[in-house]
Amino acid sequence: MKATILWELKQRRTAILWWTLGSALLACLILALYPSIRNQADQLNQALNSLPDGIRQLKTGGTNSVNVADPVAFLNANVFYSTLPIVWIILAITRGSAVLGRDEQNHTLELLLARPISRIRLLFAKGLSLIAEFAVVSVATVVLIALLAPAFKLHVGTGHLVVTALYTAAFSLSFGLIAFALQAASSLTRRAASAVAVIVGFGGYLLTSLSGLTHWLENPAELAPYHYFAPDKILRGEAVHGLDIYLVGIFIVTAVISYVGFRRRDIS
Amino acid sequence: MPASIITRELTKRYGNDPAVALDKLSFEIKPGEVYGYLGSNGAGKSTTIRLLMNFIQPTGGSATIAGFDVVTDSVEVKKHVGYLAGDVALYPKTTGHDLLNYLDSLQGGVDADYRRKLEKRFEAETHKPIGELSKGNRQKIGILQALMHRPDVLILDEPTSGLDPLMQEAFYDSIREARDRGAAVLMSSHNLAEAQRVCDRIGIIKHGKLVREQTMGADTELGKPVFHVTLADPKQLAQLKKSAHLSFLSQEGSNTALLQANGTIASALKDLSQFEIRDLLTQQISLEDEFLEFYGDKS
Repeated sequence: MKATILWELKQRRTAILWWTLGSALLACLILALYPSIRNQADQLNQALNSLPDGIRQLKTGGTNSVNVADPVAFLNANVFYSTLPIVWIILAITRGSAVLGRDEQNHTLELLLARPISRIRLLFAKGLSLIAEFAVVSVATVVLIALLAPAFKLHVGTGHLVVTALYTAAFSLSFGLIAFALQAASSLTRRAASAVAVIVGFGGYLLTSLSGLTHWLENPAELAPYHYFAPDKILRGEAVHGLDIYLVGIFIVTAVISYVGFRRRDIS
Repeated sequence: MPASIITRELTKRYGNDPAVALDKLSFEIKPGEVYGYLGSNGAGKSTTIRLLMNFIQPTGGSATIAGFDVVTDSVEVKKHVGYLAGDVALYPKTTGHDLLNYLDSLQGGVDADYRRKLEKRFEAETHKPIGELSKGNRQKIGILQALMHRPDVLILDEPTSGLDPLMQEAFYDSIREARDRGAAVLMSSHNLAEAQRVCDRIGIIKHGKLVREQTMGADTELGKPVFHVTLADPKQLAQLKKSAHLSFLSQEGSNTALLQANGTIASALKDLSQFEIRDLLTQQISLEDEFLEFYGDKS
């Protein structure tokens, strides 16, 4: 198992480096904007107040907070609700569909399954390598955010900042696990598995964000994972039971789907 | 000695396809035996191999390798098997050396000296990225990964595809070496001359069914010489057909016959010496003749 995880990380080392740099630099860039935004907070708050509720929720990260100078509101709206999850979800889905799917598509999976390693063990190793790759990218970004936030006068407790970033990483990874499970359990192509995960992830984001604009979207929005993603609450140290349940549930469900589906299916 | 590979009515259907990809296939391959598995494209060769490797699940029947069920004891089976896929897929960005190290760590029990010996025998370019290698050189890496742990059972799909004649010889040497240490070898091939040369027995598969099994060697039908005899006197042809040590195969024109020795060559020649012969050619029934019998006019 260790050999497979190390092999995957070695194969992906250049991509991991670029993803880490991209993700960390993007986060730094946004943090660096905070002093300027804080200086123009009155005008920006006024502008936000004039927007309809739904549009304002899109701009403020699913909340009705209109104080852009508030560090929590700023981090929520600009870092944790949209930018970082979007980047990380793209990474998670891309890798989730590829970590096993690429081997199957290129027929290198046969090379691995010809060894005395059970399908479940291989599946587990591939899943862990996905998590490991994602962890490298997200932890590096989290560390950088935690180090730089005070420098830009974003005074949020470091603990809350780290916990929020970890929740964001786990939430983003969950869509990668959906793609991984679909690919492992069926003969779905990588693109099809990615498409389903994208619909659940980004479709859910739009649904949740637009539910403030259109009343009839409120109930369907409750089905979207994004509905339960509330980084502003985590930044304030509040509990997010809905998100906890979603994360635990999705990890269990995707693990079961992957296990049951991959154990005996025909390899294409 | 129990057979190393046994299939019992092994059957495979794909999804809702009404056609049977493999229809109640039963055969056995003993330790120390090289079994050539022949058939046209789509006949069911790869399906058989993929079932044995547990890449796909059987619809019916069963198979064992080294005494282990290929479905329920797949991990145990893989400890005994060396596998080479047809048109082998490798990791193009990595070097052969790194890939073999990785597969070695998954397989376990690889003798480093033997691996080096194989690398030398096949003149494998293991320090270049695989993507930069020619098809033949990629095939060598594929062969190395199948042989390097000295498996008891070899399952090889078109193993010499892309190899030059020298490397084919090196491969045949490796197969003989494996056979001599008691390994069972299942080898699918389109190369009939190769099968005739390397295999102890062949099986011909057509439309998912095993239609013929044939032992190879000098004392078998394929090994016995065939005489192409042209008589000076056509009237003697009827008598020639009744020769005790010759089996009549076919007639060409009024005075030429094709006959196969059914005993020793000496006794066949003694029979022939009783006739006034204008021309005599000897040949052997080739595997190609056998193959075409099932895939030629009769198909």
